[in-house]
Amino acid sequence: MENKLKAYVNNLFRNAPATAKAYEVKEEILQNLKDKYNDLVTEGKSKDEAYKTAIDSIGDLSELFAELEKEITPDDSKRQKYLALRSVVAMIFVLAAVPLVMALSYKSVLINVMIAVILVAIGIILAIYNRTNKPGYRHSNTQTDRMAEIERKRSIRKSVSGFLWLITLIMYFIVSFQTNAWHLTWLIFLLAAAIETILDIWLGKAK
Amino acid sequence: MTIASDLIRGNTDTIILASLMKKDSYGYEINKEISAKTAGEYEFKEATLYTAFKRLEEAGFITSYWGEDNVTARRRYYSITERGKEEYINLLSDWNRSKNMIEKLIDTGVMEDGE
Repeated sequence: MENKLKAYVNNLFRNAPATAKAYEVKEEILQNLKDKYNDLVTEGKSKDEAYKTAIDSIGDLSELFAELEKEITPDDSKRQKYLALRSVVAMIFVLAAVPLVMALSYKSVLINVMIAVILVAIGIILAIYNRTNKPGYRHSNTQTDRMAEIERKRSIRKSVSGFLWLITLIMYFIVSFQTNAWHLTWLIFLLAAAIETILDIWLGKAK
Repeated sequence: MTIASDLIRGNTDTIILASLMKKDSYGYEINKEISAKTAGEYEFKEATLYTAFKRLEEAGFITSYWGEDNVTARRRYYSITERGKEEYINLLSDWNRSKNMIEKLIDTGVMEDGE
């Protein structure tokens, strides 16, 4: 009969928010029902009667679920930010196609290819940055968790940096061969260094 | 009975805080006490009780912890905070004021005459 109570409560909680708190509340309510059931049986009620009285005492859980839902709103707003940034990234990739098409029509090929490469670069950097903000249930604040977080940020910073320098190198050769202004084009490396510094600040220092 | 349960439900927070004024307690124990005091006429639904616990905990009026006393049944105990005690005093005086008002408004002396 205890298993029957458990199954009943589990079924009621199938629409509850998937949080540790909701799980705890479920366990508490189930324990109360078991206590009630056992007390009623001790008082001389039949098993079926006791079971029915116990499940009748649960009531309407929708308000409780709403209360439990409120506790996860910070995570929710993070999720919205994540989804919004993801659509921005998608838009940037689509936009990058425009200068590419223009380049195919042989009008100002160099500048259009450059714009496309820059757009793709921005898109990829944003996408990588967005992954650090991917929401999930992170309740624990233990030392190991924080170490893992720092480690993760460091590896993301490394991949962003590597990508930035690769793009810079490609741009350097494209621009230089097209313009033959070798005496000026090396300045692009200074620009890349400046961008990297800005990204470092933006991503939050993770040495 | 429906008016009575509506009235009681409107005072859920006060009743829970009142039963925690004496000692820390867990859901089933609080409900058993209420049932005993009302001679089995009233008892909170689990949903009502736990919605109130969450609300009161969020407001900082109560705190909770897992009890250690029982190995077979893990029970979460609820404990009233200083702010909770202040809130209880406020709610109690609110109730006394409303009770007096309602009494004045609805009492026409019919009941005493009839007896």
